[in-house]
Amino acid sequence: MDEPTTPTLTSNPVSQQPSVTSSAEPKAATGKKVLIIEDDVFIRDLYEMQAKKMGYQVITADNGEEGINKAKANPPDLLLTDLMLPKLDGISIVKMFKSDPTLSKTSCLIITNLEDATKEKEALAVGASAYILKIKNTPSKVVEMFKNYI
Amino acid sequence: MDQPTNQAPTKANQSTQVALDQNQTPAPVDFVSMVAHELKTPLTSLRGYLSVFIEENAKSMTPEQNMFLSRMDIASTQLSTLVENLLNTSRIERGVITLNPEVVEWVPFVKTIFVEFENRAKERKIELEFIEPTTGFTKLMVDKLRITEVISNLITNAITYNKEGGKIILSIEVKDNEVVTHVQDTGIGIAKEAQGKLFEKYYRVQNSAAGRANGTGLGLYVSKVFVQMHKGKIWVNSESDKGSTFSFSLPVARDVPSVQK
Ligand SMILES: Nc1ncnc2c1ncn2[C@@H]1O[C@H](COP(=O)(O)OP(=O)(O)OP(=O)(O)O)[C@@H](O)[C@H]1O
Ligand SMILES: [Mg+2]
Repeated sequence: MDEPTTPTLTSNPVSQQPSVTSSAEPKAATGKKVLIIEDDVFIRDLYEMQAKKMGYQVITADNGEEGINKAKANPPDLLLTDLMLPKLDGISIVKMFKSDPTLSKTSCLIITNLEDATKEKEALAVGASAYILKIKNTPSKVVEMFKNYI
Repeated sequence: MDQPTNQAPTKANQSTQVALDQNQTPAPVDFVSMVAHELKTPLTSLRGYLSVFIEENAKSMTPEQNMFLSRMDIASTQLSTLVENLLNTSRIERGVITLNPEVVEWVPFVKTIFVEFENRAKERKIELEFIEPTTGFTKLMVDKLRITEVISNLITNAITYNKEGGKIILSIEVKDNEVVTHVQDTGIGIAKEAQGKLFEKYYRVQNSAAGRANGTGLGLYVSKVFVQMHKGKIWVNSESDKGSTFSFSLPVARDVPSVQK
């Protein structure tokens, strides 16, 4: 289901107007679908804009339940989810992904500011591929990681 | 239920109908770390938007615009450091620090951190120099986040307590079983009487030269605890008005991955 084409990203995206609504530019990542679940709208927009600039197709949700519903309706190639979310937290979301036959192969990345080794271990144990600290990674860096997991 | 953390809860209205893991025993959280953790949310946005803006526009901006953004970036970094030092102090006090060690190639790791200080050094016309070891075993077992705090605190101090037009030399000395990292500055130095107290919590030297710099006196305290948790040592050599060299040692990871808690 996944073509071997990985996006070739540079650390310095070309300047371009942030265009949340426009369709993705024909970049290397074209077509790959990323689901972003994040309740903080500023942060969500930021990752969404960066991912779109890199050619990803982006679906967003602002809570866990909505995220799971969207994932089931339209399975993504990658999940980027916040840890602390209304309705369903990031770990539960990853668990649901891993136990759903249509979603179990999707890589799940947790993004959070909670620096907590226990949480991190728990996240990795339920099948998350990475536990990323928001404040320590620029949005470009985060989006650049996507290609390693698709 | 709420998130099972010993950090501050941030979502006030989590709904209750979803069964989450209940194996949580929330440790008491003090007011300072709750506030510090809450500060991270807006700070993450601020730094995120700033970094994207700088990445995309730096080349097309006037020098003045670049300077404005660079200063916003520096100020937001300072705020992050303050928040991290507060959180780390609180974690140390509550005894909830655990290490997440991994093998690190020391030289490039340190260099990456060092070059991120270029803007801040430039602001004060301070020259940065990095001296690499030429040979030796430099794989260490460290918790990258914690040790990044240590290196950043030392470099921040070397900038803050330097003189305008001064210099900072970061050098790495490889010994048989340990690697010693030195951060040397040409700054105001530290009087002998004060040197023994530097690593105490909240301690700040009271003198006219250091007085103008803001700080909480937590940076070196946190650094010392983190270095000791890694079975290393941290110390200072300094002469008033000439400069200081802060050094810390860490064991190499040849045979000791036994770094824990
Ligand atoms: N490189 C240095 N040169 C001269 N004095 C220093 C140097 N580094 C630290 N000091 C002195 O040691 C004190 C303690 O340093 P420390 O980093 O712990 O706290 P701080 O810099 O005051 O505040 P912060 O918690 O923001 O780091 C400083 O206030 C300063 O007086
Ligand atoms: Mg300091």
